[in-house]
Amino acid sequence: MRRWVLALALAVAVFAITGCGGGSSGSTASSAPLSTDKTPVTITIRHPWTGDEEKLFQQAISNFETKYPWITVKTIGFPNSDTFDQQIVIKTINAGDPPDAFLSFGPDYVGQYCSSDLWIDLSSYMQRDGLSIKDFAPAAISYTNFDGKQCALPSLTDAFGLYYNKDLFAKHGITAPPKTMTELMADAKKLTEYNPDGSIKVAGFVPLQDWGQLGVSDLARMWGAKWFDSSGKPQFASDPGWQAAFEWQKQLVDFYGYDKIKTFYQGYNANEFSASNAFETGKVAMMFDGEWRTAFIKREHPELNYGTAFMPAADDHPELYGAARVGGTIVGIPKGSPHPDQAWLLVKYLSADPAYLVFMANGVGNVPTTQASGTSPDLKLPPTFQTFIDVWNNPLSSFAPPLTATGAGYATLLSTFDNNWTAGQVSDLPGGLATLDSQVSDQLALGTAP
Amino acid sequence: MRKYAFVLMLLSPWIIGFLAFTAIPMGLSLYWSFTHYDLTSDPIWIGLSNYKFMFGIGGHADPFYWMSVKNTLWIIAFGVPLRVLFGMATAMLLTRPRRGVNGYRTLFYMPSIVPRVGSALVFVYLFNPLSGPINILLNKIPYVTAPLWFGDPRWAKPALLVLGLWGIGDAVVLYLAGLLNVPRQLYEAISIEGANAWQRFRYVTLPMLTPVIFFTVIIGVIDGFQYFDQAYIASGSATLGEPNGSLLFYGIWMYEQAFQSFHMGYAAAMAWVLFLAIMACTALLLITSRRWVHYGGGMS
Amino acid sequence: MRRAPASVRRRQLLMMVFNHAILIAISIIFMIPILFMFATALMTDTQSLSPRLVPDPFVWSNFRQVFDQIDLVRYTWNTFLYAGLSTLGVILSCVPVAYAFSRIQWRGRNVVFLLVLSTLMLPSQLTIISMYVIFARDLDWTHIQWVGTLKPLILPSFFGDAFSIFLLRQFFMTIPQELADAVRVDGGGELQILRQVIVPLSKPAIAAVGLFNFVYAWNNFYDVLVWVGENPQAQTLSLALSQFKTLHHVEWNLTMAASLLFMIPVILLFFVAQRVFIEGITLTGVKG
Repeated sequence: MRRWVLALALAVAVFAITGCGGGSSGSTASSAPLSTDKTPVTITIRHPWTGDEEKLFQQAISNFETKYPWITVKTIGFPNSDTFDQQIVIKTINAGDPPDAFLSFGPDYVGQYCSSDLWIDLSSYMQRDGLSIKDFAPAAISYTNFDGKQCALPSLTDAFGLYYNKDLFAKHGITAPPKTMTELMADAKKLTEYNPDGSIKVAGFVPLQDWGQLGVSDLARMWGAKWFDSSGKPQFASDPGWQAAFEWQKQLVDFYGYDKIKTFYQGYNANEFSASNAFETGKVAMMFDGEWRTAFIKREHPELNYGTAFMPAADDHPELYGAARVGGTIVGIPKGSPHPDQAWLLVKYLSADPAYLVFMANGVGNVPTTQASGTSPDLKLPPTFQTFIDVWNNPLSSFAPPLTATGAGYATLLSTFDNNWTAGQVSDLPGGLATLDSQVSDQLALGTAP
Repeated sequence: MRKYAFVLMLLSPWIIGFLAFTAIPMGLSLYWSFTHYDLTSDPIWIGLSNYKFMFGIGGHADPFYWMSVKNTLWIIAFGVPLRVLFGMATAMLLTRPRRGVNGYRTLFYMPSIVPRVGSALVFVYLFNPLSGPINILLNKIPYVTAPLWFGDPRWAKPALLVLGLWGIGDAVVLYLAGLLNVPRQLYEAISIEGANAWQRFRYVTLPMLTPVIFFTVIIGVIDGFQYFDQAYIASGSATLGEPNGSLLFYGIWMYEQAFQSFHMGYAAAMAWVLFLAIMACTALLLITSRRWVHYGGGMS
Repeated sequence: MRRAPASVRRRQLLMMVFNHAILIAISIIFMIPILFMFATALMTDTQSLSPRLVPDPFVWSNFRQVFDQIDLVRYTWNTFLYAGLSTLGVILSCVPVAYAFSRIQWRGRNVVFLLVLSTLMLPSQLTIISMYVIFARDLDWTHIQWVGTLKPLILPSFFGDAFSIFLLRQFFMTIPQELADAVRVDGGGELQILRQVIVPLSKPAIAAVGLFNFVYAWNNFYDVLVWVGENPQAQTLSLALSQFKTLHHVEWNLTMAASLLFMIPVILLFFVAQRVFIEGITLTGVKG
């Protein structure tokens, strides 16, 4: 009898030490008062910054260490592509070796992190320190909160708008950037120039899926199209905004001719992040792109005479002018983080410290995420940048694709469909969209536990 | 009895390895294939749901599954025969000169041991639509519009076939060895009967090569079902299977399900179906091989 | 030897020229990708996107830039570690197994050997899913960090590999029985036979097995991607190279330079040991 009790006690102790008990232990922040324990400690954070941006990040981290002298931060980078982030997050947690905190460029999987408790809910920490999601822009909640769990916070962000080449505008007698989709279409046609052999020399606006940052959903949102209805069912077929966007897109593709615009796309799209970027070299007159392009242009083509504007809205949705897709870097604390309390100090610093946000915004040219940092007099960003701060703060801006418990893999179905559509392989648009609806709900069904 | 103990001792590494790294994992994956298992929480028994979802029986269906099956069958249907044909043809050319065979053989074989990640990257560069050497050449030919290769769903798989042909050297070496094994007397005998070149090939060379053909076909089919590296590199973007799903092979989709979406149960089910498909194809080849594969030297 | 008439000799000469011409043409086609890789690795980044095919100027510093941009030394070391240890494991474990399958008569030998061969048909993707779960969750109690390291890749190689067993067995079968009998006459047991006769005589086959495994591990991508994809500390060259392009978008010159650095060891190894490779591959296919 006594031996039995002893064994049980031992088992409990072992479980407590190794943490392989319920699995949910440590998935929510303890409600005990924040540890004021100032014993020296080293915490790790994994982040995808590389190159010069990584150097800036390191500098910001040493500022953090000055602020909290008892914490040493070890940073581990990882070569990033947005979906790779999520694998690293899940694999390190599963391997039982998560860092104390994560910084990720891919908010697409926050739904999964929250719903499966892979990242802990930060609410109690935030409450205690008087930080609210409302301190950020309204759009912040659309990619950091899922199922009522605030398991991530934004740390700088991306916002999207329309870049236009002022010289090309002047050459073709256009005086102001387009404000409606009809104007965008007309200007795109006017601005297009051809080579003697008939191929495209300068494209006004390339409407293809995955041209740079553009997705058909970025067009559709300008018609107010929503991905899911209130019960979470996909509504590509029933929301008329989608059909309008698809038709607009096809009309512009047909103006160029699919083969011509696809060849153009292939030729330049791979150069998106190099100095031979099509917009930076005057090969396209207008381009939907993120705020970081302002920094790229400054670095690579300072001579480029360009402007930025809001993405044009559908003619019957003027209220959407000024809103667009937003969302970018997120920070959070994984399940099993060895030092969640200290990690929270780092997460708070990376998400809400105005000095950090302004420093990084100036350095890497991303949008500062808090109200205070967005209006800071220390911001040293070009005037073209204001567009993106405004887009971020627009209450109708949001992240896309919408978070789900199973990640964002379903968005591939939309791009595949759109590629077929623009290639002219879909004869029945409403029928195709209905199929798309059922495919998306199929895809989502797989990830959902019964 | 001592002999068996000794044999057991010699075999023990393999027995342990077979149990630990093959038999037990297979059993577990069979069990998991009937569960919903996301790795972060414990598996939940869901019966045949994964298999139903895969084949689209009742309710929801995997929108990418059949696409991946079709792509995989495509690459097998074209890749394997091309390998056989080109491998055999190159080997036959190699038997003709009296000197220098070893030098050529070395050159042809070399690409087949070059890392696939490396060769795939090189071919993505060669096939680059705008600045790649292949299209620069093609565009010089009048009235030819060079395809976009890895940028066009219609041309991405053919481009992979070319990449596959580049690595044909191991098959060439096999065919060459097979050809050199053909007894000269057989050719002499049939020549006396007045056979022409085609007849010599049809009635001597081809039958004598059937064991090698059989071997390369089996290996080709097994490898084809697991096609991965080249497609992963050629897709090149965050979305696997680009352009537009044309490079979404079975192995790619299974990888996505297992190690990106962490649908372990579903991926296990996919793996079992793959295993059964490979078994079925191999069995089919083995059965039919009795009709066309000639072992042994005789011609009778 | 009697000289053939002039007309026949002329025809033979023409045939020879023709044969070599075709073979040289094919050789060039086979070499073109390597040549382009070389050329591009020496170009400036703007030229690598232009139609000009001869490097102008020659930018040898591209190679140094690759070293600057990624931790090539670490990746090379990891690759050597993985390839070297797993090769060692395969040889140590497969020689005795192949011996049992070739030199000793025992009941059920053919059935068990068929089982070994049938595992060649198993898609590795079938077991890797379970192995991943096992190492990630079920072996948690070992307190050994498995996932994110090369350990799950190296460990199984110490427990036999069907292909290598097969290849070694094929070779062991060809060794004459008399040599073994001589050892027996001198009072030696099976272990002596293995050590004194089989292993020394099978050096070519063992070398082939070693080389195949080394190159296989060096080139392996899928398993490395699964096991150490998230840990830059443990990555091998194949993985680093696959991510190189993502990181450096269209810097084709650097990508090609990195590919070359990755391939050169394999190519060198091949030229040094080509006979072993070719004999090894012939052994697998023809006598099967």
